[in-house]
Amino acid sequence: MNVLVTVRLVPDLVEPLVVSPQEDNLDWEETSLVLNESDDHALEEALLLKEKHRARITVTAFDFGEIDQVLYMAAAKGVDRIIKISWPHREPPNSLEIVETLARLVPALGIDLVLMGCQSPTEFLGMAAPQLAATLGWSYVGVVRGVEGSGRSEAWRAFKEYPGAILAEMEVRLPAVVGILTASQPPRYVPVSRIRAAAQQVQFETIEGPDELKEPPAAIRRVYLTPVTAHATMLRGSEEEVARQLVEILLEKGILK
Amino acid sequence: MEYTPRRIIAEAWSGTLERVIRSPSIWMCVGCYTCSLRCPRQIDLTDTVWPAMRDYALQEGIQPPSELRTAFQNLYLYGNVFGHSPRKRLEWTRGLEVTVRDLSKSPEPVEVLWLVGCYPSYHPRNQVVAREMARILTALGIRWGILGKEERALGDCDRLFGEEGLFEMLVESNRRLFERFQFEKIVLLDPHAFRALEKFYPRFGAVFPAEHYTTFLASRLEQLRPWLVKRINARVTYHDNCCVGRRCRCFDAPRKLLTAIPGIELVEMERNREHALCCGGGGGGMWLDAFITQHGGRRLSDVRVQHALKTGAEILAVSCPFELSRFEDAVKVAGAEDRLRVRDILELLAESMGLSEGGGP
Repeated sequence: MNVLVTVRLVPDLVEPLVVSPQEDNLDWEETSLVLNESDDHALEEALLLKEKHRARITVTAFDFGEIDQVLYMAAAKGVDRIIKISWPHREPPNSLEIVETLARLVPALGIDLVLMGCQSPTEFLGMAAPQLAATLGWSYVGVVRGVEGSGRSEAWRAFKEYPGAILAEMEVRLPAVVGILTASQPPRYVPVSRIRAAAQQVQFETIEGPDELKEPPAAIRRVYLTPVTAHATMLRGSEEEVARQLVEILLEKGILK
Repeated sequence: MEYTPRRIIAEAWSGTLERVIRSPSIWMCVGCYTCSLRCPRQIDLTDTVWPAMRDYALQEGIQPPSELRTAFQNLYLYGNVFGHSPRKRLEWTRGLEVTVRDLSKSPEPVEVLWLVGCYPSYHPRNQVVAREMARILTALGIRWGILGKEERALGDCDRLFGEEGLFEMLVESNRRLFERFQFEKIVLLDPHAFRALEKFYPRFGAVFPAEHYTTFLASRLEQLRPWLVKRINARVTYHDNCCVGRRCRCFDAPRKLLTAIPGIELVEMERNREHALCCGGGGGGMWLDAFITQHGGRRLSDVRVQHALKTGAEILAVSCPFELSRFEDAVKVAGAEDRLRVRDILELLAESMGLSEGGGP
């Protein structure tokens, strides 16, 4: 079975977000990026399929930000093939651009199963995976937390999570696109020495990105940080001082009389 | 602990080391150096055997405990174990009344390059200690600077935990960083970082003169003494940290600093100097309390606080950023908040110098 995983970089919320001067997007040059969490889980699920079912894994990513480090990490974890999609733009690709590129790539690679994170902060409503399935005319199931073989080569089981802690076991006919929420186990740790070795040894294949940029289905009118409307007040000082301040506040609010 | 150092050596001799690396024991050593010092064949178990065995385990694909995995990933991505933004490294300086030379912004020659360290930079309780250090260095007229948001962990704990690749990566980036600046000496608050810089960085050609703050300040005691005017009338016991103490055999400098403070009566715990019990935070143990207790280990800081309480001391003095939070938690566990306070030596010095932002004992 040939599995394709696509990985994306998203804003790292450890750093403060910076809005562009035009207020129509983030300022991507000032934004630190990190691997999208559910894409990391999609990669882990693919690695588990490789271990259990000898799946062959291809990882793709758009050449945006410091994606090479993520791809070296994927190589160190044991993926078989890495394809980098050229992307000379200052903003990351939107879901339409991702879908168009993957829809072109997937048949050419003979892929049976596409695993991708079912959500990403950089795309509207987590639509990339179902859009890709619709474009390819393939089966789709999303918000999945594990995929496993059923004993029949064309039918696989996906465990889909519903709100309220309900888990559905679904049969997925291949070829399929599966939107991964979490893998069956936490993404594995790979020692940094392995990543550094991969950086010395691994060569990426490269392909061209989409021919033209796609307008997203919904235009962004304005991006802005949530306005601060109120502040918390930290009470400082000794226990007695804090207690006195607290009593004053409660008296002021009329809670204590 | 299923596999003691002696048993590990026996397993290695019998070719069954595979069993050891698949056991939780492999993650339970907290790097106290006791086995290294007691080994009759003088094998440096802590610095060589344990890291090598853990490195082997990681290379074999054995997953470290999840807390440790997170710490490794944070170090890899952000250069600190907390996973905080490097841009926030200077938050401890907020409200500080002394001038902080951020060499990453304006490089200039300094006498002391102070590596603040991850805990003093980010951990609120340790940020107080960092501010006291800034005040003391300034009061002594020392020309000092820091690396601001460019500072990264030195990586000793991940080396002890077998993440040799991560350690090498940090050595390379820190070496390039330090070489950009002119300084006479590096001074550190973190004994583990000091140990890494003193012993392991030179193996990669990164040779920089370094001192832990206790020896640095003790060597300037005559300069410091006129400042120590305020009495701290308290019985104090000192906990020897493993890296500066047992490993580097530096026991006197912290005691000289404490006894120079008027009013302090220094009392020793039953286990002191090279026999001191570890706080349990070294070698990555800082992140593995739950894992260690889950697998039958003890929280050593709880035991150590009992040692301190037996002395009748009112203050447990420390000189390692891990120990403040570990021992303060242990004091709460013991229900002894009204009897014992945990304070870094820097806090006591600053208080006696009239520089302190904290209260007295």
